[in-house]
Amino acid sequence: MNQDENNPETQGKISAELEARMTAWVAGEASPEETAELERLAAERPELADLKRRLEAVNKLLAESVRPDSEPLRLAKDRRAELMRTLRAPSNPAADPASDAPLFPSLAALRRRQTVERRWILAAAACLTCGLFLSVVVRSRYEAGSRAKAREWLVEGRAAPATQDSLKEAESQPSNEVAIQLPVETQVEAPQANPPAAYAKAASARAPVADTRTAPVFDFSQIGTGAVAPSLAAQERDAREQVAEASPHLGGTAASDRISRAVGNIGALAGVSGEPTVLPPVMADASQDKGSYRANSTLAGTRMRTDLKDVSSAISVVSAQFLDDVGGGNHEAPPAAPGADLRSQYAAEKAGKSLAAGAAGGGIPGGSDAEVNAPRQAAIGAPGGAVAETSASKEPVSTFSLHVSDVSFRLAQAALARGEMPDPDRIRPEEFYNAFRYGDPAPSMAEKISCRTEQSADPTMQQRNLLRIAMTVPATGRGAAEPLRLTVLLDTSGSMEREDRASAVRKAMQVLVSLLGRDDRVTLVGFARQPRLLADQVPGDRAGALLDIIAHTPAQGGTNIEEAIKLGGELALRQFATGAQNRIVLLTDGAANLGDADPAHLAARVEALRQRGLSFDACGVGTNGIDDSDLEALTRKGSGRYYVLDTPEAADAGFARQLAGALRPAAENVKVQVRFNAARVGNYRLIGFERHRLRTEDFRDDKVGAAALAAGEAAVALYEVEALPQGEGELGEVYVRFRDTAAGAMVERSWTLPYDPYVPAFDRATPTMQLAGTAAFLAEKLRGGARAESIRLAQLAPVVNALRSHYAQETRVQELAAMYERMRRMRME
Amino acid sequence: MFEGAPARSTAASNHAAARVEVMKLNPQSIAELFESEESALLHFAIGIVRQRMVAEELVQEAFLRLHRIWGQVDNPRGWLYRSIRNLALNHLRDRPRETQLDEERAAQDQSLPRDLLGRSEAIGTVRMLLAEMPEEDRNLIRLKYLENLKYLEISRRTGLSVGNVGFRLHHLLKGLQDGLQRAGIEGSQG
Repeated sequence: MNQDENNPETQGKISAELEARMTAWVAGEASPEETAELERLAAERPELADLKRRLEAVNKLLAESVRPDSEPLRLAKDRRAELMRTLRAPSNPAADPASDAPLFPSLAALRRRQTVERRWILAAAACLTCGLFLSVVVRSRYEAGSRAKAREWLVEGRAAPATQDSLKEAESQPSNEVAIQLPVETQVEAPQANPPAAYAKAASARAPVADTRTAPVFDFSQIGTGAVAPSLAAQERDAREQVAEASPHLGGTAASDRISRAVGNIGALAGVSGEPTVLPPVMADASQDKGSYRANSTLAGTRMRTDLKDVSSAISVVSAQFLDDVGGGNHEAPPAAPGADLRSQYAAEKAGKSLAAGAAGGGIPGGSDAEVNAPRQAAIGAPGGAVAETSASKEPVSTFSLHVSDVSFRLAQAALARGEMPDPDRIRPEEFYNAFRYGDPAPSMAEKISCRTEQSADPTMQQRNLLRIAMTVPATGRGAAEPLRLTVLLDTSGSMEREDRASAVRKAMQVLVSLLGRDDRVTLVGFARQPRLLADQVPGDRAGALLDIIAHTPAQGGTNIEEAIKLGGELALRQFATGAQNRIVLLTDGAANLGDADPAHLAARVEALRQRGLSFDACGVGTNGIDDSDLEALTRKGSGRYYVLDTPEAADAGFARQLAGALRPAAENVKVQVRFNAARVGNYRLIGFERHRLRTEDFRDDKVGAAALAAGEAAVALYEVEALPQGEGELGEVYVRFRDTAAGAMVERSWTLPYDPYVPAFDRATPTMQLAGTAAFLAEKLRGGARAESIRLAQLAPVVNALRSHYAQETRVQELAAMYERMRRMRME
Repeated sequence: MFEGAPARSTAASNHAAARVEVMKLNPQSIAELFESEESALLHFAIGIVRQRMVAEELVQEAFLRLHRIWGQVDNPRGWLYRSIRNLALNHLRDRPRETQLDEERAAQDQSLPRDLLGRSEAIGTVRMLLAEMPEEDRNLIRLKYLENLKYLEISRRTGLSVGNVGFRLHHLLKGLQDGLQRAGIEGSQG
């Protein structure tokens, strides 16, 4: 609820009395008249409808929770028997010297860690005692101490009252230290009548920001001295009131709580004042900052709340409501057993959805794409219509945005690894076969782009050939000379507090920061219920300071992506520089639940920004509960990329490469057009790219946005083509058109697609052809529908084995082979 | 018998105790507690770590730990739920990525559908929060949600006024919702 978190304008106040009436209503206690009255109110006030939905959710959960499980689970027999023996034995820890010894070998490691931690706690406790007399520098270590202590209790799980007291004691010490990290709090708690001259001088040199919701920015140069006091002294009284109103339930004494209040209140303060907030210049000097936070590099260091017992956990209950919120479809529990039934069910849902999407949407999931997708191309993306071929004589031209991503592949791989069937709606074949590096020859710098095509027989369909078209851009993107103006929108909502997400974000930001140079500028916005400016136009070589800010920004509250994009857009335009890469990167776990979360509206917003020269990337954190199709749709509107950050390792490997690539695109607005020769080609079908298809005339319309390719990156498109042996001429021509970021000019090139009367069989084709084909077939199989029926997994076995040995060093290919095995085991065949 | 429950609710408590598992009165022994919570805790752990084998290990570990300090813990059930959750999250933190070996295990778990897992975590969290509630509050929840009694009937059994029942249930729901939200279960989020 976090009603403390400012902003009455988006969250109408609901009185306690009304809340109680709503509860009674949801609990089925309201009289008919009362029901009618409340229904009327709920219809008038969206926040009431929202409250009702939340209450109903809790109500339902409660009803399920108090009942015994319908399918009781038991431990494995042996384990159970052994445990019962131990439990039945008398427990007397004092007399049992072996009680600390590992009971089971598998747990020994855990115990050892505990012992180490205990030692650390003792050291920290000693430190704590001395700390009363020591300097600020020493104090900063307390935090590490108290966090470690909290972690100890977390591991022990004890909730003894003594714990709380000692935590309180630990917390009560570092109050100065909190003020140091967050100078603004000094202002709130101990307002100064005269802001330091340095600040005033700095402030006078700034242009005001029109957006009054913007919070004051930290002056990095002052971090560590605690001397900053924003010139808000006049609003001191308001600040105090805000503090008094601040949430009583957010974690008691935790230092983070105070920080969050301080931040929240400064945010509110700016709102209350109604005057433009003056932003101090950012002199990001990380040198003073380095090493002052002992806990930075520990896992605990990425968290703000020392109340570690409340580590967040997975979103999953959400599904229904969350999908509802973001305008998703009907995702009722999919049946446990995968198979034809499941697929047909999804097909049915898909059909229903596309009906709703209406004629303009053309049956392609996601109504927001409506205007991009040509109605006449619609049949290709229609439900079950992934099968539908296009006749070259009727429609010889196939145009699409060459969008490279591997998200769908990775989500599907993660799902299969968990033993689940991936959601067929989220399977995008082009993201499967573009998940691999094919090693296609790179062009020279002068060539700008190269194209390689190859063919083989299609093993799953009579009289069809597979046609692989690979576009590669030069390896050294000259875009590197181009400075970057980056605006990072970081989701700081409650769900981002989860340890795995927090560390993934931290890692991602480290990678990002390491990629920045002196001429680059980064603006950091944190957003939950409200967006807040955390850092403004930090020079790239000093961006390390951002990591400290992120580490000390609490995660709590809802997710209001709309407001974040609004503020992010304004700030990005403020630091906009012609001749620079101007980008916004959104990092979120995707659960947009506040504000206008309508994907179509968000997409319109992003598109408006793109037209002003701002690209938009999104990064989904965690693979659970992310509505990736919506985020992906946003990036499509913003000529950007969509990434998934599921583990800290992903930030290191894939994300680093991809982000580096996206931030330095060598080719932007890349569109491909294939013109088939109707005299040679009967039917054809582009595998995947359903959401990236364009109208024929869009190809040369440079206002229509399309994907970007990074330096050295290759993108692949795969067609199924019916080559007529009795026909004449070549298969056709392939055109590519893009903006060369180095020259800033549009480039268009074309190649001939030759007709080969002797195409090799699939199992004798080149490894690259086999790899692309296999990935596409697995995607089609997972996606289901009529085309999947014709793909026999068993038939692919020799090719998969060949790939496995040919690409022995390629993890991705090995993963693909593992997916294949898993799919076969999961009774798909 | 519900420890610390007011006398007026005793009759009601006895009435339901026989067929209630998850909200059963405080057990006399750890073995009894194990019998009554085994399934719920396993569901909870699987909901978080998503692997049956790991979940079993965690449940076993929690009980072994509890066994060693049995008698010193005020609220063993609440302690167990917290421990399971912390152990499970530690597991996720320490082993964020599945290794080859785990994949084999995961493959065995394919019988567990995804939505059920998320649901399991949410339900487990609610049970954890319930276990940490004062007995009197838990009793109200039980009367309302397990026995599906109307406010009027609850009022008759507990001696609270109807308005008071509504008010308290409302506050309990709100508290639960806050707790869920803090636990990152977003179905409850505002």
